Amino acid sequence: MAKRWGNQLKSWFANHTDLPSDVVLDLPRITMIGQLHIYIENHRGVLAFSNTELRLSLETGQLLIHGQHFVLKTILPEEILLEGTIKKVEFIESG
Amino acid sequence: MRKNWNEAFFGHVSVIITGQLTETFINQAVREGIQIWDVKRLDEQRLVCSMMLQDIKRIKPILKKTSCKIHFNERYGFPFLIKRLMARSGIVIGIILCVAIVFILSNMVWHIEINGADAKVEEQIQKLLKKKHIHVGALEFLLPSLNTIETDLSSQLPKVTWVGVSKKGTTYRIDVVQKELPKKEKVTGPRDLIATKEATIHHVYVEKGQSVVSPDQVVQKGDLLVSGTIGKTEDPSFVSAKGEVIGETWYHATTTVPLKTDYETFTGATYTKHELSFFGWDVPIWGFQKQPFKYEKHERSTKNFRFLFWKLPIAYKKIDYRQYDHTNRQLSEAQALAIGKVDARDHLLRQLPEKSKVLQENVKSQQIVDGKLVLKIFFIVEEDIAKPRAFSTQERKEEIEKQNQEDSEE
Repeated sequence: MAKRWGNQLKSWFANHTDLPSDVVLDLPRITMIGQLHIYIENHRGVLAFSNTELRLSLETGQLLIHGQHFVLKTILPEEILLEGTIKKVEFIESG
Repeated sequence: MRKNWNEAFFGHVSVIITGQLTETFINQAVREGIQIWDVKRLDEQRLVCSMMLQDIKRIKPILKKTSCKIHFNERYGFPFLIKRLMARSGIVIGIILCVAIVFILSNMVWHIEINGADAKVEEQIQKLLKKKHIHVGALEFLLPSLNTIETDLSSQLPKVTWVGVSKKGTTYRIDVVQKELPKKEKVTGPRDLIATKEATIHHVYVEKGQSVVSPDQVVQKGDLLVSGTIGKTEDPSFVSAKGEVIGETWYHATTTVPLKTDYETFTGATYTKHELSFFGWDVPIWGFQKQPFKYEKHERSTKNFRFLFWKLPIAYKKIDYRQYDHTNRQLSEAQALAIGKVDARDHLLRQLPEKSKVLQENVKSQQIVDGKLVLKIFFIVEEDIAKPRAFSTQERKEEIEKQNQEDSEE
């Protein structure tokens, strides 16, 4: 109950101030440069990584990236830079 | 992207991680703050990634926890470069030797050029230089500074008026101006000798010309002493008068002698510091005392190292400290008087022609003012007062003819 109230407060805060919602709501910020690069901030760790797939854990749910020739250029605790040919970015909501 | 300099300097490796839980391994390593980049999947069990060489130790416990294995794939950077070079030590030694030899040769004296000296003086200079170890092949930073060479040379070469020492790259250039031998007297035109100052004539020595003054005669400045006109009045001939006219002259001189003088005398104690300076930073090599003496004077000589044509930002500095003592001298009036007399006489004689002699000196007054003895001295001096003055024969002839006419008219 308290957590839901907290979330509602946060989303109200994000809507009614100029602060970016990724900061307020702990959401991932994803930046893509064409199909070449994808840059994800605020992730919670790598779940699976292969040449064609990267599965990341998020605060709520997972992020699934499909493509080819994947190389993880940089990994930091909260940031990740993936290089390759990105075909699909998919959010998987946890139940 | 991550090709920054410390990566190259500390070295990094490309490793293959084998295991079931490679993703977990990466997550944990990243959480520990280990930098990992360029991760690539090889197959289901194997990953390739890059990391810093110094992080290898820190991933060992993580490898154990996730039961992964590590294989070194490739090594990059400076530490590995050195290792590889060490395996080929011949090349390294060769390169170092080459640099060292060029460095030494760049700091060597290759040529000493002596200009303006005749063969004898040149040989003398070369001998003096050899005594100071300045010769072809000497290392430049061990040599004294240009100024010291210059002063040493000029003090030890009596036949030389001026010595200039300069350096251009590896060549020392020594310019010499030799004292010129007295030239043969020029043939001078007809002239008289006249008095340079008021005096009483003592002796007259005439080599050429006709003396018009006699001993004990008083002459004024500009008076004719020896005439260049000789022969009969009707048919005169003209010569260049030559001779010495010794006259007695008088001078008043005033000197002051301080009764108390402060002196600085060197005690003979010395202290030498050696420093290497890198980019303006002085690093002492030998001699670490900050202030070796309370009263000291120091001389500092700086030698830049050279490499081929370039001056390196590295220099060798030598600082010589010499201790001195303050002493003072208290003179009695009599001592001061004696000193004052000698000073005044020397000072006077320096301004007079060479063979001048002091005949008599009288102290007219002596007074002590502000701790100084003020002397007024009267000198009687014997000196050559003759000075040549040229005349034109044409004018002189006309003058004499006029004179003759006047005489005959009378």
